Amino acid sequence: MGFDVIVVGAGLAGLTATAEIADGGKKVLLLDQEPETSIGGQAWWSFGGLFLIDSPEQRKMGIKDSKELAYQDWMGSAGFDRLYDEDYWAKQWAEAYLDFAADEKRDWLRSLGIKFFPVVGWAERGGYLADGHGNSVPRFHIVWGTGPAIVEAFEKRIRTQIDQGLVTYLPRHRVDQLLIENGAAVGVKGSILEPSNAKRGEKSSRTVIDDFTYKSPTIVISSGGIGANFDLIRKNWPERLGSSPQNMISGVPDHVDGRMLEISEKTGARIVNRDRMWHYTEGIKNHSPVWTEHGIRILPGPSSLWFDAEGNRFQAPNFPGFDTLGTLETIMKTGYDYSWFILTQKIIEKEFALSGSEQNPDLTGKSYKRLLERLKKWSARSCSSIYGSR
Amino acid sequence: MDQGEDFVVANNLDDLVNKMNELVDNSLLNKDEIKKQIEARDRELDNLFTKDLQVTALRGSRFYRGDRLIRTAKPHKILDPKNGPLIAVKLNIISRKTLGGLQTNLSGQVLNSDGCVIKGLYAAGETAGFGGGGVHGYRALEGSFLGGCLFTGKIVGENIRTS
Repeated sequence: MGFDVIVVGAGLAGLTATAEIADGGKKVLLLDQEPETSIGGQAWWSFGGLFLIDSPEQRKMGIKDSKELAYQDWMGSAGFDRLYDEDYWAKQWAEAYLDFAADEKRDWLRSLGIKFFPVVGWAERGGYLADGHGNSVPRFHIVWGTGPAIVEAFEKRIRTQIDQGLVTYLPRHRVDQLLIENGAAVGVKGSILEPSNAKRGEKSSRTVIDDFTYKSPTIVISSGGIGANFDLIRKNWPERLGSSPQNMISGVPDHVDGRMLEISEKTGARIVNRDRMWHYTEGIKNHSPVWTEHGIRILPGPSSLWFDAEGNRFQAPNFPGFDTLGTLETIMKTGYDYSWFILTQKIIEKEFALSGSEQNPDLTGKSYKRLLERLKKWSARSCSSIYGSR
Repeated sequence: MDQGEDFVVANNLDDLVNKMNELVDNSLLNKDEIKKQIEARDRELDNLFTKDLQVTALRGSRFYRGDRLIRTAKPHKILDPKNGPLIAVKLNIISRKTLGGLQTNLSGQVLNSDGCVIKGLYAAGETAGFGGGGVHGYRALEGSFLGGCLFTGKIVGENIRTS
């Protein structure tokens, strides 16, 4: 059986690429090492926040945004300094992405049935100068239904394309090698893993029962990052962020293993900027873990007082929600890999949101009624029920 | 099962700090030092001028309706008992993302170390550093990771569809 395209990885990027390709009538083979229950990958677990510029939601909340302001903020945060090499294409992608976020993105997503929660969040507030790191205005648009709603919009398209015979989706197919001949892709080789009953996000077995080879002149690698591979994180950890943490918890499922990056590199693909990473500093352990070392990130409001392990309050602008990597660097340079919030019940009631679709059943379940109940209850609830609840 | 193993709660700061030290099994935290710092911060709530930038930031964020509604508590004194029991949270480093990745051109085609296209090979999502091998540079603005999967997936898909 011939395929026009092979897509490696059924996370959000792979699903999007597959849906767009098959829309043109080309035949796509979609491979993933995980069982079908994990379709959508990491995106399913996300809070569903999307960066939009000058949206109707922003305008309704009295926020004045523009592409120029967003450009200033993006470049101030990115600090591209390898322009003639590793950042050559990255910066051009950033410019293209800003155009997308200001123009087409919202309409395109709405045409796929995606809607947004009316209160726009203000993430990464910066705290330096006007043209330094951070968002000058709130831009974090939460998808109504969080991560699962985004995944669902694309999964639905793909299910239809499977029915039409345009997409063949083979879970438990792990790619081990990219086949390249005379500088051109010709196919993939890999292992078929034994069937798995793992639920979404759970670790699945790596027992091989067979192998496979599929030929195609076009291959898309959409296999995700390295977030669950602590060895690789430590290996790539840049000196500028201090020493790498001895203790970490994981914000992503086990399958986010970075395998395909190495496999791609072996066949001649170039990896750039591997010293740049994004890890959070406000992780708490999940009391009902789904994956190994499962952590949840607190999305904190700005009021909690932040102390290092020795009890020294951090200097400005290391306040909650201002500069993720700046604070990571500050923490790691203390010589300890943890820090403390001290706050009051009034603060926790108003300001603690937990990142992740499963932590926010009202937003995820698209229930305004439940959301309003939560907002009302926040003032009445005891704090133990808040941090003890999901 | 301890549902909130990284949380401690107490009615006064002395007890809170004791419990914090117990939680991490050391005695790095000194009650008097912490108390002095929080009292200094609390004092700034009576000062309309203030040089504590976090207090300034709180007042600023209350200008935004969204923050006032669901994000920023009305500024209050941490050590005033009427604001409820004190809570401390031990915060761990939590892994998430690589910002670098396979270098791709604006069509999403993967490049080799000479900067030349590997024919037929594309990358999308985090593997491609969400585009070009590092669209965020050193730091992100948030809301751009899911969006980066969508954008790179769409661009790669469109390019392959029309090629």
